[in-house]
Amino acid sequence: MLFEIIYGFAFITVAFAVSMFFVKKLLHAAVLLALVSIGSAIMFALTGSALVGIFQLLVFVGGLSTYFIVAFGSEPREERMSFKKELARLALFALSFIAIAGAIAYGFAKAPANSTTTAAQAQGNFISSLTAMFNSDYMLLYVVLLLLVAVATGSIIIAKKVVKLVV
Amino acid sequence: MLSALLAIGAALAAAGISGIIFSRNFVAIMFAVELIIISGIVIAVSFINSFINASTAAGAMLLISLWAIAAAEAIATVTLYAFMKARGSNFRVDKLNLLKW
Repeated sequence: MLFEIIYGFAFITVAFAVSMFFVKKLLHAAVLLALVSIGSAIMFALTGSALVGIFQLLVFVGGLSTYFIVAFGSEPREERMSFKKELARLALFALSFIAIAGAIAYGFAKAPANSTTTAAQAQGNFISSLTAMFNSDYMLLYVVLLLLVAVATGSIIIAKKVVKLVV
Repeated sequence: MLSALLAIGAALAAAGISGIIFSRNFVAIMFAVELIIISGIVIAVSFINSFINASTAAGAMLLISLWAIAAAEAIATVTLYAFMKARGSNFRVDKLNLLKW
């Protein structure tokens, strides 16, 4: 029963993700992005990672989606296309979606079988090196600071241009 | 459970890549990038559940890094949006030329 519920939520989440690219207003796209985040958080909770699900809700729905909804609330997305063009775009999108999802799923399915290393060896090599890298007491601080510096630098460069335009 | 999370991760990544290919609006493309980051988080959680010992902090660090990247991308999106709006420019990427400095 749990299995069907998980796949049901997965289907609904992917449907929200795909419909995000076919709505006319950016506000609706932002709301659908929030629904995708809620769906993924529910998936985490159902697969036994409830804490990750809570953080996903806090970060994506509470923070980012609210930010997007407030910022893009009044912006129209693009001019309407004719029905034929819309249909052609939908068909191309569906073809591309199926091809890319199939390629990724094929990679997931085939990669361990073709690999000469077992899962335990992979854990020993890759994960232990990752653990050693991330397990430092100051690693989180470094990552957050690096990202903040990058964002602050970019924002300052762009803000200078905006100020020049306005003033 | 691993396969369910991998399947949804693959589907979300495919939707995001297709969105980047077929969207012409700058903000919609940034939403697609956000979708790809969500798919990365889903795949990371499935691998952390399967391969990483829960007593280590590696999984949490990886997820926090991904959330930080998503937040940074959102800030960059809204900043660029404000910049483009201030210039009164078109949000269609095929008509985008304002990033010339």
